Amino acid sequence: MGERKKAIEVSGLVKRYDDLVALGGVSLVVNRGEVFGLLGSNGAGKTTMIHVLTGILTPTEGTARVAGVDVVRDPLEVKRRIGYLPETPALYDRLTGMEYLQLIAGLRGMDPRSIDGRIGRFSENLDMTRHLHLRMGAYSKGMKQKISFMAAVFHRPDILFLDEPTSGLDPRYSEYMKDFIRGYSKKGGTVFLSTHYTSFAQNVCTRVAVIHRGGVVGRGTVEDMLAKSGTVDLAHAFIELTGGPIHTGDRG
Amino acid sequence: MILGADLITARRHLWHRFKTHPFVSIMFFFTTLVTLTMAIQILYFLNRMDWTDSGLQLDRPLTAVLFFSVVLARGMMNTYRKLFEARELLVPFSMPIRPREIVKAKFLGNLVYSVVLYGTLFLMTLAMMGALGHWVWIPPGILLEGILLLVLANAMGFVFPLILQIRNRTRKNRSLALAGTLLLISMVLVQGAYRGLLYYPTLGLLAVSFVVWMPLLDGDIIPGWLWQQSKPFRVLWLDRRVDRRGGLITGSGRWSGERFVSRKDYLVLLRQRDMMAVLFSSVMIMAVQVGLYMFMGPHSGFENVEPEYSKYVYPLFLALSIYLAGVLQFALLGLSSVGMEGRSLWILKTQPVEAVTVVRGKARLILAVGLPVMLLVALPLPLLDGMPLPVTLFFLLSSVSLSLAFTGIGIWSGARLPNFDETMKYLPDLMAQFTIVFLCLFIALVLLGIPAAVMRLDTWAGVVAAAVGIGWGYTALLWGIRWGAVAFERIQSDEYL
Repeated sequence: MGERKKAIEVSGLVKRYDDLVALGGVSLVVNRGEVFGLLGSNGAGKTTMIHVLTGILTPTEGTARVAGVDVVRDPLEVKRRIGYLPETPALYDRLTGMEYLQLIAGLRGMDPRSIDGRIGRFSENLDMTRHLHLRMGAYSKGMKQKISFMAAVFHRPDILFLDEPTSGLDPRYSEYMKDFIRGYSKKGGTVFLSTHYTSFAQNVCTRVAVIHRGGVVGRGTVEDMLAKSGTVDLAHAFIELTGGPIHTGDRG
Repeated sequence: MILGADLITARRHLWHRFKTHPFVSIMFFFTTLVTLTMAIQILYFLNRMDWTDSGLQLDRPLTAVLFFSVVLARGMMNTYRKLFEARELLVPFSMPIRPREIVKAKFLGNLVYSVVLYGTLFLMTLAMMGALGHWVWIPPGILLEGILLLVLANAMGFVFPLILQIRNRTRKNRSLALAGTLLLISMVLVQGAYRGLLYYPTLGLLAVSFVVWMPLLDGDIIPGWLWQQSKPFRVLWLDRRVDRRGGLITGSGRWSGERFVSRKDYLVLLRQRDMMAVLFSSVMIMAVQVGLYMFMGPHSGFENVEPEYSKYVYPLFLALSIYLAGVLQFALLGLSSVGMEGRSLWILKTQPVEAVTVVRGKARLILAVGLPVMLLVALPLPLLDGMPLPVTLFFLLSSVSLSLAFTGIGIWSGARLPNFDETMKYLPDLMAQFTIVFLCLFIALVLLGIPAAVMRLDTWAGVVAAAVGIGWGYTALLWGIRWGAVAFERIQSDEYL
């Protein structure tokens, strides 16, 4: 596979916290224009993986390249090329949405006055226009998710990291998010998303990997995964790969 | 349960800090020892110095009042931070327990922490006195008095904020009047009006009355907490007016990443009232100077002080004022400058902006806000007492050098030991705060003391030495920014998320 085709390349990635192994030697490749889904249960290592790839957490061992750039050696260049939406975005409660977007524009070296043109379409689609001049402390969980999404995409990054992108969003905006991801990928953008919503991943991802206890236990296209598990539902494949169903007792 | 959780959290926090920053922790410990040694030496020197007819005696009532005021102020701040501003209390408040149980746990936690902290400092002082062989006279009964004052001040520190949250105005005013009267009685007692046989029982009675008062405010705790939780979203007219002047503070001209960080910090600090609180403290320091002058008059009229020493009284007081304002305005703001990002630090960390730009932006705001205030703190006494021009210049220049140096220290330690806990106002633990304050004292002694010594030999040479001090202060600032940036770069996502 040509180097220029690779958007993300991870090799033998390990992240240890004392005795706890959050990532135990993960290797994977994501191609340009792909929507890649990292599936895993709670605490499987998905967020740790994204933190390493976005340059905010140093791995214990292994290498990771994003947009052809080593995340440990040149994290700044990586950050220039990416957009990141965390699972539960902690924001500056005392800033308004607009002030926050202007801050992000400024830190990315953009003219804050150009912000209106860049966010106009997003804020209308996400119904955020009337909320942009309110302090973010008063935002609901969904509104926080929407403003963080706008901040992650308005500079048109090459690669988007989305950690549970539909968290806190109602079905209408979840659908919008799916459409956006598909459209973004069609235009050549790469999306690396982490989720435990298998139906969402099945709808938007071109390839997926299942991570369990810090290691990749399955990977391939959605069709491959379904064929291997012999079902039409990615959830079943996921359950089989992550230890099988949990049997409840009489009282749950 | 809650007390246990608080104590375990505090213990783990200390242990984690020692594990992650062993070198800094050891360095801080030694700085504390050095500063204690210096303090003991100064006390020993002052005790031996015969500069009035009767000789200078360390004033026990004054020390007690200062101690009581510090613990009281800290107790009140802690009540706001750990009770009313703590969002995580939503879970305990929704449990089938009475709110007073939570207040009791928070109060006991605070008390235990205070006893451990002040007890450790006291024991360390005794040990250092022993090691140095310089025993400063310690009055009998001081231990009992200290413990009673700790309980009383901590209990008052909880009751006052609780009263202020009462929504019924009549009951609130009545409670405030009663608590205010008891505070007044306590202050009169502590400042030495009465030291008879009943002194300790009276202090104990006052402490018990405040401890008993706490559970009686049970019904006001949750409404007060809810009101405080909604407070950040209110927009005050002052905010809007000062917001518009933000450009003056954060600079004009081309927008840079550094300027954006400054502006963000400016808006956040302004809206969470921290900046106002610090500015208010500095204005109070100015007011105390003016008040002191109005009370004591020109130095030439001092009767109890030898004429050759009287001219040093106001300069010494001014130096102390500059030091205090500098610590508040620069060191402590710098100390919380990285921690104040809290869980939102991911925002700065995921943008393509260099760590040095972030740290410089933070330092820039601290200096832009603090420097004018610092110059104002340095002016009233020289003007009122008619100090000569070189002396006035000396203090203005020294205040600039201290501002630069304290910002450097604050910003470095803020990035090295960040505390992302909002309930602690993003400041590191008290021991680290004390150490920074002591470190600043040491630097103030160098940056003010050396030029002052030169000034005694030659007035204008002293002014030149103070100007050179600005160079040293600037060096400390650059050092703080450089190493602060290195520390900022090393902060990992698992430390704040």
